[in-house]
Amino acid sequence: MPLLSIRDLRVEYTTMRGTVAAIPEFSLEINEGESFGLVGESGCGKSTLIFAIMGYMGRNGAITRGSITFEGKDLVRASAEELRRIRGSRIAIVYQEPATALNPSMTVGRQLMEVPLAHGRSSTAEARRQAERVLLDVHLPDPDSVMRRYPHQLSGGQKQRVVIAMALLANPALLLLDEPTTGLDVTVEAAVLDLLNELRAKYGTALFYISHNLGVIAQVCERIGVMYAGKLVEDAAAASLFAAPRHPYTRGLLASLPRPGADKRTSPLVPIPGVVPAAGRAPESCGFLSRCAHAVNGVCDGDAVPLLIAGPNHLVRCARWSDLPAPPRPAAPAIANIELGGEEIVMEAHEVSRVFPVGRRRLLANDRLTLAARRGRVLAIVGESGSGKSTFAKVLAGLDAATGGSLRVLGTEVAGKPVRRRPADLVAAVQMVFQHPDGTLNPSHPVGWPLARSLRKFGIVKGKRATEERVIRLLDMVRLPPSLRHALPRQLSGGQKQRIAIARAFAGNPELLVADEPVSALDVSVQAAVINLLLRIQQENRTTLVFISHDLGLVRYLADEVVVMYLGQVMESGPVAALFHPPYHPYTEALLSAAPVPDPTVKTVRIRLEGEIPSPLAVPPGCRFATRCPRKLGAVCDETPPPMRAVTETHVIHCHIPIEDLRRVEPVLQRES
Amino acid sequence: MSVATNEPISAIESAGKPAPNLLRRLPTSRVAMVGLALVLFWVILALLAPVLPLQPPNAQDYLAMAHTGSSAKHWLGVDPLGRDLLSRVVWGARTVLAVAPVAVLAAYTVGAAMGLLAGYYRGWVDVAISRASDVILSFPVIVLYVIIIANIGPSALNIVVAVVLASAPGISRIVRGLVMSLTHQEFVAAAYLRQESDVFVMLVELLPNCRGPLITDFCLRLGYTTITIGTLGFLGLGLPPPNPDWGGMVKQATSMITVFPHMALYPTAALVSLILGFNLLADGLTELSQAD
Repeated sequence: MPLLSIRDLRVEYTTMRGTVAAIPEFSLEINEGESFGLVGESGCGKSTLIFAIMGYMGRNGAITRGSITFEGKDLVRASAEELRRIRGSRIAIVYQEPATALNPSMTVGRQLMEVPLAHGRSSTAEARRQAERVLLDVHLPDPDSVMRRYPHQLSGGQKQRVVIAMALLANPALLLLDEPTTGLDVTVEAAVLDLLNELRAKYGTALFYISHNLGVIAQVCERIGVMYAGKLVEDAAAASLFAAPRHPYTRGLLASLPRPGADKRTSPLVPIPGVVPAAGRAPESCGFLSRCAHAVNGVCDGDAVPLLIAGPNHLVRCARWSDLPAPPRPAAPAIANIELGGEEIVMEAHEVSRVFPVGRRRLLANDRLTLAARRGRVLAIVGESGSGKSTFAKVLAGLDAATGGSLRVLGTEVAGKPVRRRPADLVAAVQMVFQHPDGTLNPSHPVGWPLARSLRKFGIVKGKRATEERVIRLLDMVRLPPSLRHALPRQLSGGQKQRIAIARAFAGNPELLVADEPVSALDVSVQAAVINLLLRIQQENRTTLVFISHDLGLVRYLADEVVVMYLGQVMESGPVAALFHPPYHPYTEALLSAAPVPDPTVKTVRIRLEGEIPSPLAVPPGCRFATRCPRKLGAVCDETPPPMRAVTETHVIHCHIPIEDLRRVEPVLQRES
Repeated sequence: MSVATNEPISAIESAGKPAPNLLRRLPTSRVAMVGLALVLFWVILALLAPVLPLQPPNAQDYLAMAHTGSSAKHWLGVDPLGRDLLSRVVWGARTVLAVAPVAVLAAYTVGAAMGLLAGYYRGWVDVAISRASDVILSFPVIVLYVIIIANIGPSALNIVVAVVLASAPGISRIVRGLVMSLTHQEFVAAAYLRQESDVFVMLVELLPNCRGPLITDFCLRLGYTTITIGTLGFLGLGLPPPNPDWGGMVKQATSMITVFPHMALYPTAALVSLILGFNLLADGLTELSQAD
């Protein structure tokens, strides 16, 4: 008997516009001790499913058909009291946001002890012992001190560990994880995923892991389900899903992700056209119909397609799965035959600093950064949150001013000059694309407005007619229909908003474009489309692109040169090809090891960083990375700033370890043969 | 053109129909509709006052003073000076409905400007504006009105000045808070990257996005201001006599309230219904904006 069995589940929500089936029909079984991962883009019904299992449907939601059986009990028909008992002890859940899962006014210890006490199984002393033991299990050092702290005294990663500890205290048979690492840095995420694997081995808890990130799922789950438009479209063992995906949507998801070893020249990303249909709007026969390249009239638009057996332990909901052509290695479209830009230096930063005074102390957001970008090339800046990469982006664009050093853009010194004090032509020449699709456009103005406004302010065109024509051309450049210029931002999808933001940045014919995590808030299939678009326009205009990102996979795919930042300083910089092989900086090595890889055949050498990134208010005096470095030599790392070691003319590492030693390091990414 | 980067146009529809604008969705809220009906009732009466078959509001009927209650000639009776109550209540609506919106609009102009400056520039500008607001807000409102009007004498203009002084700090606080959270948005950074001026950013990028919460607050303040105008009239600080003014009418009736309660009752009922109308409208708008 499976541990959790969901049969023909239908979940409906009543809204102002009528009844919507968020989940039209869903079936799934999870066995005891199994780790099952469910992937899908936002709007596919993943969260609704969790709510249905937990019975938190809200006032307007209801399970109108089907059953959810857990350990032989039907949760749909269970009484509130029964549900409460099951939820607390047999099923536990870890949500995405650890900050909201903990009560800010109670110490961590009291919240943890509440779990065994509420179930009336143990005395206070016993509860305390259990809480301390489970804190050790989740690798929080010094449980005694953690117990006495309040949630705000813990970092994001520590909080998530506490939430996982709390879930484990009940000793559940099933642990639901809803995007538990989405807000965390890659190095912290990697440690949490390790922890989950370890705990599963120890406690034998079944995991039901929900995520939009195939790379993360690949690391934790043995079996993977793919959800689309409220239905399970594919269900297979992890290895077989990645090796032989059957459903066009699964194939599309995989093709839109940068794989290790792939780059923009050899294997471009292939986005899935269109967007996820709104809940309840998907066709009954096949939810993916409108976006599928293989849809055939008379086959795909008939009756609802059932889950078909495509192999041992491999189910697929596609009427054409057996005669689908093998996924083609697509001929590279517009961004093939990329020329590596010119040698001319467009932007040169020399010892640029941005220091914020905080009381008497100094916050070193950027500390003597030296880097350069060449015409028509893509310079990626990578690092975790707190590395100062966004601060540099702002300084470069003029939204902030450097407090020291020299920053030359197109031959003009702009270090201390915010955008107000820069000459107008330079402002047009350096533009920016921002991170959040929802904040990037003014909700009060139609989307054509900022485009027209930029054109007028930069003196590109004069007169109403000419402006209108130019706006339409800009929209066409980002592949959006002209009629869209009258729409308000809220009528656009996230991907469309980022396209408008790109069009806006290109209105003044910029020579240098700063893109600060432009796709990190988008779904993978849309992400690929926006990246392709950005690279194509960048190529056509020979624009220099400074691409800020925390996603190493993406950086490897699109960058020509890479700068790795940590705590306000450059750790390593060089051409992209050089950066992903030894010799590399120990921090680069750790980042590579932590980055989730959407391919189970690629093995990564496990390097995990201890502790948290230090506060930029109190930076280590020697090497910034010394406090967490797994290859630390000794006192010299703590006391002396590292020398700059040149591997080649363009590849530079700031480290005390000699290049020869770094060269001998085992490569992090290895493909199984 | 590469097909790969193309999102079909139909994607616009699936991204969700635009939530129609707040005022256009008004009919879906019953509370708001009741409020609107009450307000419109008085607006229409006030507009039609000159053409309705009413007695002149200031004409004294000495014969009716012997029997002040309802009669065929005076449906709601007469006041202590023999003036027709129905006519004075209807004409009184004109006073309130002309002065209140003008006063609130004036308060909004001043308050929004203060809030924009404080929220946008922060630092000492914010400190100066916020402290000045605190000082004004710490006066009991009635005392404040009395001081203002006692100094410049009762007239419609003074009511406006008094309302501006009392309301602007509150409006300023709302706008300041909204502006502070909006200035971190990326579209504001994008405006800087076009070298837009501060004034442009404040008026074109920020202010329009404060609209939602301000519409609700505007209705509430119309209600408060109606109360204020009534209170000032009652204190003899409203419009100078013989203007028909609901608060003033209640004041005149107080000396005889035990004998002729209707003289105070009708203008009070008028005040209550209008204020209730504004408040229900505000409630309905809040409900609608939260339903988003």
